[in-house]
Amino acid sequence: MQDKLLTIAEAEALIKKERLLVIFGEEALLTALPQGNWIGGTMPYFYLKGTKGVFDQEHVFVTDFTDYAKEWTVKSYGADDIKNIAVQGFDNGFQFTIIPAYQPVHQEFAVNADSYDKLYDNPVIGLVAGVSLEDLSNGRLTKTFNGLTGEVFIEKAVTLHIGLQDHQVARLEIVNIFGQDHSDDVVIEPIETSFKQTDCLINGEKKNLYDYLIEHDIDTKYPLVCDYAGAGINASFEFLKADERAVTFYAPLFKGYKYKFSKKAAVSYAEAFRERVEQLEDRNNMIFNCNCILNYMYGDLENHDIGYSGPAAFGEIAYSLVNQTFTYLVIDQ
Amino acid sequence: MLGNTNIPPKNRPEWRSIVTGSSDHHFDNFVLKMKCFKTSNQIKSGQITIEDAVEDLYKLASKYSRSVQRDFKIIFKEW
Repeated sequence: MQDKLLTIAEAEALIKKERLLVIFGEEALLTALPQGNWIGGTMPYFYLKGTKGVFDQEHVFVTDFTDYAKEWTVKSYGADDIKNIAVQGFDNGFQFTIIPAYQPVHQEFAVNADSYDKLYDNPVIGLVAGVSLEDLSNGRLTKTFNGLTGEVFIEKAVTLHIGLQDHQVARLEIVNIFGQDHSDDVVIEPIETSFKQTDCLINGEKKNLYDYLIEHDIDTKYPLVCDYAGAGINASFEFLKADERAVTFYAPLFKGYKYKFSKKAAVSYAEAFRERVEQLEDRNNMIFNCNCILNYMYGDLENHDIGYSGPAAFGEIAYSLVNQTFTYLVIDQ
Repeated sequence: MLGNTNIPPKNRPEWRSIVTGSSDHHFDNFVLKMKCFKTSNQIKSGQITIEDAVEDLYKLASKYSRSVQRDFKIIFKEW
């Protein structure tokens, strides 16, 4: 049983069977679950295969990794030791991590993950936990759960390290429908690495990014995209702050990297996504996937089926923090 | 781990083109793209030598050699 919304009773039954689970849902639901072989994080938004996406505070979304785990361990990491996330994993396996939003560990991972020792040796997949957008605007915090110990965290990431059989290899891939727009020549280069940008180099000239976006009436539902050797890595717009003439993003922009605006889609997100996924040879072998809350909102996934089920993350982990991206994990035999 | 015949030899010059970012072809595999991006930046900033970068990428490519065969055939043609 994988990737399904379950009642608390159904999730509890799986925990009692000692299944190895990752569980997302409302804080009160996760708190009510018994201790066992699971980790979790707050999250009320889900997209579902064969039906519409849902905002659900009565069920939990469960992914069962039992059949893939030769060995496993659960660890929690704060901003001071998240750098060890890959080192603490098994020689052959993957790390599944849930990071609390807007906490120092979120900031630290987003800015520095690329420099972590052994980061690329095995997949690091997961997501940033969320709460309802209304609750978020009222200051409610996201939480992470170590079901093994019963610990609940505001400031720590919880990670399930899984070791695989020798004949198996875990592979993390992404589907990003937002390619760079090459119809214009606009290149944005941050002067500092930060979630918040003011002055940047725009086509080599120092300009205020907020002013540029306003002057050119840029649609901020579309992310900035940086080309990582052929991988489009998005940074999504969070707020345009008129009082500070600043722009905040859901992922940091990195000094020295070149960003471009993204191409505007001619079709709906769901349609563009389906076209891309149909080309994937491994589309039937995913053991986990997640999409972004912004794709859920802007792509209207509450009314569209993309053919997969998963949580709508407040930031996707694909070795590093990415935005507006569908991420998935495959086990190759 | 698959045998060495599944992956082009480390001394092929194409590896140097890949790690320095001068190759026209990008891997399909996500982690190899991320690794290539990192190593080409590290080489430019002098943090790593080309030889060490090739060593690192070769090791990672060996792990994913089965899913990267198509890329290898485009880049290396034969080996």
